Amino acid sequence: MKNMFVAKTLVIVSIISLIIGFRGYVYGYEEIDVQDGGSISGTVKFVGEKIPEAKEITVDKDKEVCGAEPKHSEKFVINAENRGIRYVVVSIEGIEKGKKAEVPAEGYNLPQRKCWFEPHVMAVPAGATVSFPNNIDKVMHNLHSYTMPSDSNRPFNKGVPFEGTFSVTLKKPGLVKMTCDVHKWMLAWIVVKDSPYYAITDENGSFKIENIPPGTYTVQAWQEALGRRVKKDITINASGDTKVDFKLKKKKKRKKKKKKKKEAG
Amino acid sequence: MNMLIRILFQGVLGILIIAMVTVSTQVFAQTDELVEAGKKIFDKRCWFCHGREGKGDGPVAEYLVPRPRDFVTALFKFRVTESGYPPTDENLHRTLKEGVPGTAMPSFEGLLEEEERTQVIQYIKTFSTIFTDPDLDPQKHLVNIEEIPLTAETIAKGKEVYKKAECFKCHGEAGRGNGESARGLADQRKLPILPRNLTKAWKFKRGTTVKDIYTRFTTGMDGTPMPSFVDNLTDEERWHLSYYVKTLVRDVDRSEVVIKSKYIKGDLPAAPDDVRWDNIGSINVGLTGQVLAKPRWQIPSVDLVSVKSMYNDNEIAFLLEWDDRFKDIKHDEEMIDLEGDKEFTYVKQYTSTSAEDEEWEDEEYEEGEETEDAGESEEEEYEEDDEYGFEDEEEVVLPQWILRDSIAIQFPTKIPDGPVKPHFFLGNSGSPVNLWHWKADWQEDPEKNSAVEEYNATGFKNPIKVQPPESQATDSNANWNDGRWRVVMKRTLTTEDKRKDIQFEKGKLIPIAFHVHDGANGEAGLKMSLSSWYLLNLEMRTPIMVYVYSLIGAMVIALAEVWLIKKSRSKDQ
Repeated sequence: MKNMFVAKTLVIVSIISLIIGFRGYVYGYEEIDVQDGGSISGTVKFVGEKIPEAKEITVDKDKEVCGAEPKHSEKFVINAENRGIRYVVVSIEGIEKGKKAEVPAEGYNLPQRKCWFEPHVMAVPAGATVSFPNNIDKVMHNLHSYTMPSDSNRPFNKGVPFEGTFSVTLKKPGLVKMTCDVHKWMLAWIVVKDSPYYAITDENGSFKIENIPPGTYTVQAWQEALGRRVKKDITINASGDTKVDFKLKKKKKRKKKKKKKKEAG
Repeated sequence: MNMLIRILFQGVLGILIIAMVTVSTQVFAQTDELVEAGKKIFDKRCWFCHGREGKGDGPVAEYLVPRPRDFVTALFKFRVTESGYPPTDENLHRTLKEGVPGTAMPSFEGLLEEEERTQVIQYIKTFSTIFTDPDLDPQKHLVNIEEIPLTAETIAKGKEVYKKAECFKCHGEAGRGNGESARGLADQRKLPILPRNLTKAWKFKRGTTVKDIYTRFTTGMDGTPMPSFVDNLTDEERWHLSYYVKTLVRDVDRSEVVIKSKYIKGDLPAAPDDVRWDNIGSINVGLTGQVLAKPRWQIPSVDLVSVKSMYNDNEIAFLLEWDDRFKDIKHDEEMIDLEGDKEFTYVKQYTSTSAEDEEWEDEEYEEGEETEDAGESEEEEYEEDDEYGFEDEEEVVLPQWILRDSIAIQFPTKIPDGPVKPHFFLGNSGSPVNLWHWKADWQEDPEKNSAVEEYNATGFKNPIKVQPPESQATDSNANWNDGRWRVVMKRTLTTEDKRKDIQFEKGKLIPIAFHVHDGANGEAGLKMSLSSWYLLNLEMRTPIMVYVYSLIGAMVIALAEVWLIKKSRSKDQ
């Protein structure tokens, strides 16, 4: 009798915990204390005959605030000497256990300065709250986001005047493309990742991701125009550094688009 | 005792399980029956615009501006929820019940019962996961809509907010949708979109009450460049702004079809700014797209022109006023779309040919060619990005039409004797028409004597016949200011060319019609908005002799009556 009672209770309790656990276990990332973590470091370089130039952007409104000199697109920020690509998000994909996310003291912010987003690309872990302060520009910015995939975070469109701000919590992994409807050249990317294992390359295309639990992982590099490159089966050893380098080149145009251009031309 | 405790314990656990399971299932009441019934209605009445899968890509969608709602992307304009959040069921009900004026979405109030409308809504909600995501529950993200009363300072305060929130940047100072940011805006489908002209009440898609106006900029209109100001303007500021915007909204009376030309002594006003124009009222002429001849134009820009007229003993003048967001004074004949095959719908208008793409074309290599790092391709995997579709996006380059703005007044060459008029669209053979075509680029050209070209037409199938230079007799003067054209056209009442020019006569009803082209909208040639025949009447003052004769007549009769009475009295005696 007693055993039956215990058994029934156990069954019932485990059913309940499964149900509760299922609701909370959304992205499968578990924060643990990482012992003897390894790291990956490397560079992302551009491959191709001609290095794309940073396109010049004419400031056609609010010159007193945005500055009258032309700006330069940050779509391709490629080092002329070593061909390093800046603003590439390198990340470990599908990692289930690892370090806790280190939220910066001032939080995640994407301010607008002289009608330009700074930084051009930022990466945040899923669940992060990002703020969009406008402390410098004495003009209204109309911050309009587009999200991908469509069932990740919801897009938003908010007016931010001088000394205004607003915040958004990005719960799901995906891409958020930030634009301004008034100053149409403004562009930034917020990459929401499912783990805190990401890094953004610097002006030499270099990156380093630290404190990774030893194991074998998939590493991905993403650039807004050059797309994604993936390297599978990268082994991280305890307290060791694994070198991972990426080469990105301009994508092939798909056949369908080729035809369309020939007809138009 | 043990037994009791055991039963209680298991009972509580049982209840816990039931509660957990119930909470875990969907929160919204979407019974399968409603959805099934809704699908039947959708598949009968909605799919040809909204598409079989609700993507807003039905067979007629490409002819409509704005496009039908895409329920899969699920960005809704008219809601009471925060930016990015789904609409409530009530919001969707209102759309079905009232329709969306100014678009192809009709009111379904007469066509569907309320029960049926509920069913369709439940089906529509199945197209996107946002309606079942508990994080996006619209009831938890409602905006505050508590109206405040109108006071003496509200309008002035609202005007301040209009400046502070920089509404004029898109909507213009007077609200005609002609702000400096108005050009080059696109919606989330990369289709061209324009800021609302706030002065035209009939263009508002979701009501013109102060509450409706307040809701729009509090929630923002998802999928468009219209943002939400909920974070950075207080509720009070937004109510003040709503009251102010309401003062800009005007409805116009379009019931009058007779344009009375007022007789004045002395010279006629030559310019639009002459104060004498303020002394007469205008007639509001409604315009619609020209759909009789190719290219059939379903999306005209100008839907209203206000007309005033004056004449003296020698000349007649017209003042024409209409809202046009952009002053188009450059013209390239090559761009005229005579056959209607040059991108007449928006879907074809959008072509992406930015300079950057041309750069890519140079570097394109043929299939089968070896790439530089072909040796590395075994190690790396290059994945085609289907999910992260952003990278594949070509830059949005909206069509840049180089076409002038223009307006034409059309008359029959002869004032008809009876009720039969020439065909309202460029006449017909046997009943020619005479047009005075004012062109914005000619107005700017110092070498041209007049910005008006007179021509004749005998039906839209025949080419127009421009009158020779010696026969051109119409003068004009025009200006464009803050989103509005004002054009004066003036000509002598009679001309030498009796056959080709309209000869004006007082007191008669003369057919008159209008054609308008908005260059920025790609309008030129037969692609235009036009009106049907209205009637022009040169008012005659009643001659003074009419009054004199009436007075004499009245006096004569009065005297006669007196004499009759006197006579009958004397007879009695």
